[in-house]
Amino acid sequence: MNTFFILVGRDLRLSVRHRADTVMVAGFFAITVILFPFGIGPEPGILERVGAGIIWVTALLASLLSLDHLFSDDEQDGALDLLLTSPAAPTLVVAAKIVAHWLTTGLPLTLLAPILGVTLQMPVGSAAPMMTALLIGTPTLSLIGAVGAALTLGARRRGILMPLVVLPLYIPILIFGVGAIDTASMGFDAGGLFAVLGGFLLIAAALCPWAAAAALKIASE
Amino acid sequence: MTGFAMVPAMSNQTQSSVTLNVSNLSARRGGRTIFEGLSFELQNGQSMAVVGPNGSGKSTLLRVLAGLLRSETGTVQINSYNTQDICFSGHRDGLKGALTVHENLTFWANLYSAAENAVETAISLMALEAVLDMPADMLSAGWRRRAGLARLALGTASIWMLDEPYTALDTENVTRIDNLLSAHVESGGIALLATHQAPGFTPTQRIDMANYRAKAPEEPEMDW
Repeated sequence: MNTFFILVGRDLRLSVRHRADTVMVAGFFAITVILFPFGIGPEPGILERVGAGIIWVTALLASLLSLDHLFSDDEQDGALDLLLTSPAAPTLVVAAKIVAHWLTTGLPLTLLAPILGVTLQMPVGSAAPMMTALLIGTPTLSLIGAVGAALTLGARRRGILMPLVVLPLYIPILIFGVGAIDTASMGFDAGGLFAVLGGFLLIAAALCPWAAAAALKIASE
Repeated sequence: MTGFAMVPAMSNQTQSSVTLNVSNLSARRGGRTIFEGLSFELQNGQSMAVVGPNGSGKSTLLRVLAGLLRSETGTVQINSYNTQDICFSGHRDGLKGALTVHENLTFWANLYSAAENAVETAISLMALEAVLDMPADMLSAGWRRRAGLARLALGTASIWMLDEPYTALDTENVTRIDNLLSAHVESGGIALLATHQAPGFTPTQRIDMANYRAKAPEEPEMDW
């Protein structure tokens, strides 16, 4: 377990040094969400209806932005070779990177979302379900994204290839994430939808680190 | 978790049964067989220079041995009782540019479960005191190499695999690396180095990659 925290600590320290990266992801999220009221118009009924969808789609895209560096920085300066030949298991290295990615991407987005919900005229009551849905859903985005980032490592045109690999896999999270927020903010019981999101998270946590480690091994050849 | 029990470093005693056994190894890259039919065995306290002209597969061999590349045929067997079998050093140093030299070394020391004062020892062995608080990005090529190779002194790995360790180093620092290598081999470790020069340190064995070239060279696949 100690090894895991050492690896997470390193990535967190690096993202503090490169804090512009985290700020840019959060900034992209905020600005893109704020564009929608301008594009759609200020009519309350419409924005309120599509708000949850806008938040989720934008969160997916923002999460993709930072996936680009997940492994490529370490690959370029040779640190990835050293990590893969170190006593730490590759799966553990990948898992640590995923956790660090979520802490610097998913978590800030989750905290930012209720504030942006206000600009979309979403009801105050939707803030709690929105944060819960993002809290359960965004780690799954990091997990699935890591597989895509590992698969496309070293590929030319990675910036385009990775969204093509990853975005289709995000669709179930999008559907249930938006559904949970809408259902809960309409006053219905959304427990089942949150449970499905939790189920996705558990499945992804059980499979993705191993899949990403295997993909990394292929990509490093 | 990953069976990460701390095994005490045995740097000053003879390590029991460390062997590296390679038999009939061949590797392909980009549709071309780089080398084939390569076999050797190294034991405690032995070292090997991997020599050969450019493109003869020195780096490929080290990467295959380190487990970073798959071999086409043959086996690599590593017997070592340490938690950390190998310490690999490639063309790139793996230093994080945004972290200081000290932070970089501390990270690897923690990951290798190195002894408490290992970082200080490594710093003095490579004489890195002057650049400790500098971000690795600011270092010159020679300093980077020194900081990167200081990693060797941190771990308890039994087998060192170094790819061109002397690149960008002046004679004084070449001697430092030689001393590190001699101490490692004397304490029962194994060292492999791909290099054209090994002034102060004479490996016990030598393998010339030119002898293991694929017998019938194939047409390289064109990448259109």
